[in-house]
Amino acid sequence: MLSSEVVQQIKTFALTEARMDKVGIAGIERFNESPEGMHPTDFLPGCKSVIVFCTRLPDGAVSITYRTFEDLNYNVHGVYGAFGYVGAPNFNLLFANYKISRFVEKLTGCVAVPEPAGPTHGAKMMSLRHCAYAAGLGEFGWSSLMLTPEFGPRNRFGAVLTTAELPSDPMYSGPRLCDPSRCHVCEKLCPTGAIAPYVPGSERLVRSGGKEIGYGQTNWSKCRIMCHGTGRDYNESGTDLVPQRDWEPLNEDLDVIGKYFDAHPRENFHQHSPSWKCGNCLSYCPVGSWYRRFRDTGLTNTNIDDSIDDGWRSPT
Amino acid sequence: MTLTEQIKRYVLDDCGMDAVGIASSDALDDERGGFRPQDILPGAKSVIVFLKRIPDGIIQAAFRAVEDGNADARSIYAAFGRELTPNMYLFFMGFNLAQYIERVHGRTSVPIPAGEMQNVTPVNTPLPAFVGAKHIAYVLHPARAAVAAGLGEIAWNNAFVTAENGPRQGIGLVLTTMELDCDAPYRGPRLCKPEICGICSRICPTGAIPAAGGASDSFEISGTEYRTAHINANACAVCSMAFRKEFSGKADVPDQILCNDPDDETLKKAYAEKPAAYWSLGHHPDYYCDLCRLYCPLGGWKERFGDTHLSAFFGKAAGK
Repeated sequence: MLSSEVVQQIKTFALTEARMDKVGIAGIERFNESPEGMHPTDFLPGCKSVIVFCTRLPDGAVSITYRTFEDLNYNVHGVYGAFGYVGAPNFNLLFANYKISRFVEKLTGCVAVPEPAGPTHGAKMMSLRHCAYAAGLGEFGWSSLMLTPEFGPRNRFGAVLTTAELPSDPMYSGPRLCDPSRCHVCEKLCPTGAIAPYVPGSERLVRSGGKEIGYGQTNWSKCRIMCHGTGRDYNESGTDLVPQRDWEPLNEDLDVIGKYFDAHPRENFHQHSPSWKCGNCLSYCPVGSWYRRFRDTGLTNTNIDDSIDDGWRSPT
Repeated sequence: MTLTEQIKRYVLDDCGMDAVGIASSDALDDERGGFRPQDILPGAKSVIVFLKRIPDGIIQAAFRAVEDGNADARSIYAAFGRELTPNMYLFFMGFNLAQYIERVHGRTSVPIPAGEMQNVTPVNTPLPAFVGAKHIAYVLHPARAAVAAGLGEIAWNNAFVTAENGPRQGIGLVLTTMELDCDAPYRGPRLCKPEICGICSRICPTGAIPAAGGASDSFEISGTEYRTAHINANACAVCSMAFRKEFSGKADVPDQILCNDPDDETLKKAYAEKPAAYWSLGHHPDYYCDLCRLYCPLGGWKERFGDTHLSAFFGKAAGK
């Protein structure tokens, strides 16, 4: 096990040189229940630790989704994609992953592997949300997004795998951030009903570090309809990119969407196929000081309280 | 150090910018609906505008292509002088500045994309991003914001120009609800005098820039009216996006548009059929010309490029 001084140097580097907002470490034992092909040792034989970090999303970038869907100002929609989703956050993580992995190798002499940040980089990668949970950075919301106490779901994660044996951080042990039995914001605001209503026992369970948590079974096909901007209400053109008859009734065969973007590869930054055209579950989740950041500042006019029972309030 | 000074120091020192100014968001109230600061960030008080100059060495690389026929040098200009490095640098620094203001000062901030490749191109737009009725390849007009922030003026050829660098710089923007000490709009000496210069009009290969006194547009910033050439964007696209081999240099593009002033339908068809191999990382390659930017005499052009013999062009196209 490497010394706490080495660990502190790595964390300080992540928070300063790499400009990250949070960092934590998960020992390899916290991935005992990872699916086949998604275990850290599948990517780095001998991996002993996973260093996980996140960058917050600027409130200003998130607020663009309100301008788009509340004010119908589609001209600005791309600012969310550029600075709140696939653009700057993913590229910053890409470079942060690279920088941190190089720093770890120089400092420890052990092997370090950066994980790509987002589909922009062509990877089928480990779930960074699950890595963040294992490193104690937060816990899952019903939406399946990873929530941190500070920023709710409005952060994105990166990870570096290493053969260095580093001490694990404690699992998140603060107050439960998401209570899907009383807060239904993500479910109610999802335009296609991709996020299932809360039903006890229906959740997908995740176990790590001696803790267990569940999250909703999101229908990713339904999610894609909106996050790719397929419907007329979710893209700047005001038209259905793919005729509704081709995706309603909704089924699992969404090849028509893929074909549309294959035919229009110039669009949508370097990712080509956009996934930032919705973002409602991220923008309206009350966790992470949503009221202070967005409602009290007048940035949104949406009353999410209609989707919350009994006056429940997120602890952060 | 005041808050405004702290922000400006961060922009210059941490973000590595060459100049910074702050416009009041009110100064851009005359922009059309949807493009005003309040339309993007309700409660916006300030627009932080920052500039990154293009190194002389990068500009002169384009001269090697234009004057010496060294087509390979064009890629140096494209990579470091046009859409790639400058735009990506401004993109990341806008993100970092917005993060800094929110993290340290707790005020909501929106970075504005720098360039049409950064998720601002509307879907289903069959014309190149900077062409056509929508002209939507910006969210907040960067050049007008820079004028409002006191950094310079807009020249006849529609480029933002400064006394220091002429049109040879990139512009980045961050909107914020933070109330800062705003700079006054530019009121310095008139920089561009198209009636006695005219280089940009004369040097344009497709005649996209009318001569002084020709078709023009006007706009207002803080009570001052500005008048600029009405650019024929379709004509500009023929050359800047290399729809003919004569403009592409080494790239073996087909002769797709044979005239200099194509209609929208011709341009749409050519754009749709443009070979993907020449899209560049930004997907919208529009760096094949830029003569109006390269040869604008403002910003010490003669001293930087003429007297140093980096260009043999000086004065040849000028009216006087």
